[in-house]
Amino acid sequence: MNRRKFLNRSLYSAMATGGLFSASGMLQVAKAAALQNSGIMGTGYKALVCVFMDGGNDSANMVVPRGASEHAAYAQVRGDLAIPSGDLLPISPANNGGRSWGLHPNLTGLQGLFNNNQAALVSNIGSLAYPIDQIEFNNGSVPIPPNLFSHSDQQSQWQTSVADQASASGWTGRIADLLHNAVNNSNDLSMNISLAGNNILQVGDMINQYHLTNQGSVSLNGTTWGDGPNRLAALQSLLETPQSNLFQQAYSDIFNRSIDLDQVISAGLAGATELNTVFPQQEGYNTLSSQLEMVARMISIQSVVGMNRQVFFCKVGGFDNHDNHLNDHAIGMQNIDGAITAFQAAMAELNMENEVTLFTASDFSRTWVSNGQGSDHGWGASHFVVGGAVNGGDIYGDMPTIEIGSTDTVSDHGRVIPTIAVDEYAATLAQWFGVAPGQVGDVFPNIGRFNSSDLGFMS
Amino acid sequence: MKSKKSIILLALFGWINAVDAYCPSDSIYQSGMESLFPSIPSSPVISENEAARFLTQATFGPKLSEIRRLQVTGYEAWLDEQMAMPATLQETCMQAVLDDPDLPLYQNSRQEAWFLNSAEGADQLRQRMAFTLSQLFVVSDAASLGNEVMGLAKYYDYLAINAFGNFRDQMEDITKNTMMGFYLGMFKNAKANPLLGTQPDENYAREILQLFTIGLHQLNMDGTEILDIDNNPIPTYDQSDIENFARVFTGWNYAGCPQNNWDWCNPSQPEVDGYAPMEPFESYHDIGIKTLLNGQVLAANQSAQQDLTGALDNIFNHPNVPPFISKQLIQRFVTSNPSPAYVQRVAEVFVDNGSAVRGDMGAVLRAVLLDDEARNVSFLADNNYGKLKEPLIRYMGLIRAFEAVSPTGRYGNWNPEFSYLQRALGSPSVFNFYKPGFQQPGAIRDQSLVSPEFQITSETTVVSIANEMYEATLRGHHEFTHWNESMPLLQLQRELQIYNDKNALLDHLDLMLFSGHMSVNTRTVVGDLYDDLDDGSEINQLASLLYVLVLSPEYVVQK
Repeated sequence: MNRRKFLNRSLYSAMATGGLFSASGMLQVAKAAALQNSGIMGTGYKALVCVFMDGGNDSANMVVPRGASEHAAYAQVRGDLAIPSGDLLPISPANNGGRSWGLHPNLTGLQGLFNNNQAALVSNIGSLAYPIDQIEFNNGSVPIPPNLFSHSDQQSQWQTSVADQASASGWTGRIADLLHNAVNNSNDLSMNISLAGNNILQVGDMINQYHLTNQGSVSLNGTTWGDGPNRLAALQSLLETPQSNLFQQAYSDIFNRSIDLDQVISAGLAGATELNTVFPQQEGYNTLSSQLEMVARMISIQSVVGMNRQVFFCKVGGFDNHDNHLNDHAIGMQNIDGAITAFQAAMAELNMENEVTLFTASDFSRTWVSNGQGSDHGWGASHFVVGGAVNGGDIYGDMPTIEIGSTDTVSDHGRVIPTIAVDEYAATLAQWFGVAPGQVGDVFPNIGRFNSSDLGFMS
Repeated sequence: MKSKKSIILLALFGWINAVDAYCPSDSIYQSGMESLFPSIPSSPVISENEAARFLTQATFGPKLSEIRRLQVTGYEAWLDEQMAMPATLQETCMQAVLDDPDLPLYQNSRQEAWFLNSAEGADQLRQRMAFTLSQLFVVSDAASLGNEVMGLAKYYDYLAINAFGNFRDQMEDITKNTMMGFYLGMFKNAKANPLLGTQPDENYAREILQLFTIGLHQLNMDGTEILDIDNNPIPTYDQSDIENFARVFTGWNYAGCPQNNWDWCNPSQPEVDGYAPMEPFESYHDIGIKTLLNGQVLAANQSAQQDLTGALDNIFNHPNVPPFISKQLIQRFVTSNPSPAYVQRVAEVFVDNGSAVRGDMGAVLRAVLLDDEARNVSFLADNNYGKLKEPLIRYMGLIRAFEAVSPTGRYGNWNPEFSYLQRALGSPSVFNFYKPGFQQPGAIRDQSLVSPEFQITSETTVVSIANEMYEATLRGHHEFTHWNESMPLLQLQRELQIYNDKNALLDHLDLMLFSGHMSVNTRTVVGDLYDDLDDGSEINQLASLLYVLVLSPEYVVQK
């Protein structure tokens, strides 16, 4: 397909669908100028990489108190789920409040990154409608997010950062609405790229996400020889025909975008320099390691594909540990540790370590109390932020005290009430990424309800 | 390395015999019972287009012989016949593998059996309903059930055998099924133990409510949400309800366990049955008072079975169940965005099948398929009508329309999830491959519509599916000489016979793939392609036409 035809179709598509991708260069230039004048547009390249731990990561076993009395209280509450103190990997947060901490025994790489100030922990984050404490929770005087403790709802609340109602867009989607056309030179390729299927995080009101596999984009087979060109032409003719049925049009839009962008991505990746960093082999299909390796390769061709700001979404399963918890969670920890450590090494290899920030997210943490061999759905959780731009080597926010009768929890099962809203965590990342302070409220409509829009963990 | 390869090859050929012997195959080309073009009925009850459209909704895709038969019987008699037909079982295929000492039993075998039964089983309505129920009562080999081949085959067979049974029975049976027990943690779920500081597992309690029966929000009979004075949806339960139901679902273990052996009881013990419904250990069951939905109370000191009966009755009689289940069945079989009136008509049949029986799934399915909104073609003009076909159903539609046969009896599409993002009993989580409320960004979302199957539709999957279709057509027809011996081949003798009559060919393809509703534009484009094709044989050209047709927007969307 020639360029003019492509542009025509893009314009048609933009009109027909409300403007997924504006193909108008003039408009882009005007927008960029406007944004530059208002001082919003960032310079250079930046990327955010979300690692979503699917199912609810048990962060109480990811970061564990090491002090003798505190560990004893932890061990008593957790019962068969407790990790022995001697197995923990010590970390030395700059501001420890007199408490000492260790990481899960499988987080050797993250221990090194933390102690070298390349990683930070942010503690007790969760989806919140408003700040709330135990008394307010129990007497119902402060609204809580709907359908608390449901996987699907808390996932979507983490990704929309609008915890009190159904939101049609996610927070990096709204960032793309704000920045993509202004900062990226490739209007066809979205700012938001998913390596792990559809997610709400990367859905904007105007800009939707683009999907890649861990091997890159997928090319149509059998289009070049024999009747291949005839078939492709007929198929494209059908896909380019406006469809009155909404499902047919949506399918055509995706298919057309796929064919067009595959040419750009495949050529870009084929011309990329091989990474020396070795990503670990992990068991399963579409592993985190393979996803992050592809993210690293895409970052290596950011200038080729004309991207100055990108958000990548990765997902790793195996965290809904209602059963066989110690074993399965250990595998999950090993998976994130190996993949994230290799990714950080790859960023260093590309000289991009200060330009790329990786952060973890999950549905929720889990109950402290065991159900026998597992634990159930909880709420507030600790998360890692990794990269050269992170003010690393510290824990931001308050670590809850794990003990029977804790006032930090909803109930006697040990569901921790978050003390940092997802909105605050996300807004901190968004501002590093290039969202101007004056526009934080556009991306995070509820941010004004909480203490901070900058938790200080990004430089 | 070399010796390992030869072992695998031996295993392949052994399996071929097993499949030939035990799995169904009713293709007309194998039986030779019918002519290529079954005779057109002289006084049909319904048109061939209507028949093809009905079969597209109710089965894994129309065959020409089935279209002709349905034209004669009409819908009601066809449904009667299908509902009376015995289930084609996966277990028989799995047993054949088990009985052969040379064959390992992997989940691959189960996927083969699913493809075979779905493509060739005569009990099409039952198989299609089983596939639908397998996406409602989700268990999956993607996690802890990875080694449970026979158990999952039996679970699927259970769904097929009881596809048209009562929903209350389905609830009880899936609750006690060991596969569900392993998957969502009710198996060996013990009451709280103060000494160990443990609490019951909440997983099954939460998901049976959220996903299998009532959903998160209170519903009207027409499937719309009841709103409070602030226009917010009203939750159906809270965390306290989950904790109470979690206590109900305590005390269940393998059938036949000695009562003093809760922890170590396992199916290697001769008296233990790993596949039979779970049985109670009263000493591990929580006998306290439990408060359920709508304030209903289960008295103290009841047995595990008494509590289970009471709790499942409590859920079954919740007013959400009829619209919650009815709407999802409509979404799987007919259209993603049914009118509230359509949902209500079906939900009313769920409440009362006409004989004062609640939960008659056969009656509910009839109501879904025979409703005016399913049958009346005037709805096709509505831009919001219809649904994106499930990826595996797109493939099956091709396979059935052109009566594919595997020369070896094999169906080696072992990892359909790589390309299709779907796999029988293999979804990534209990939330299935897609959620009923997924909204594709853009016009669909902007009009507040839903499009569940778009959740697994992306730039990568449209092309990975297209490449599967390339294999299934260009490299999967009966004259292709380098075929993959484990895959079925389209039998295109019928289409070749009329290949030179362009109009007759396009009419036939229109009937088989579009229920006679191919647009003028598509017909023009495909007609032009017919004229342009110049490479190789007629069968290659025919395969090219099929490839383009099954990737067209009009084929992938069922209307």
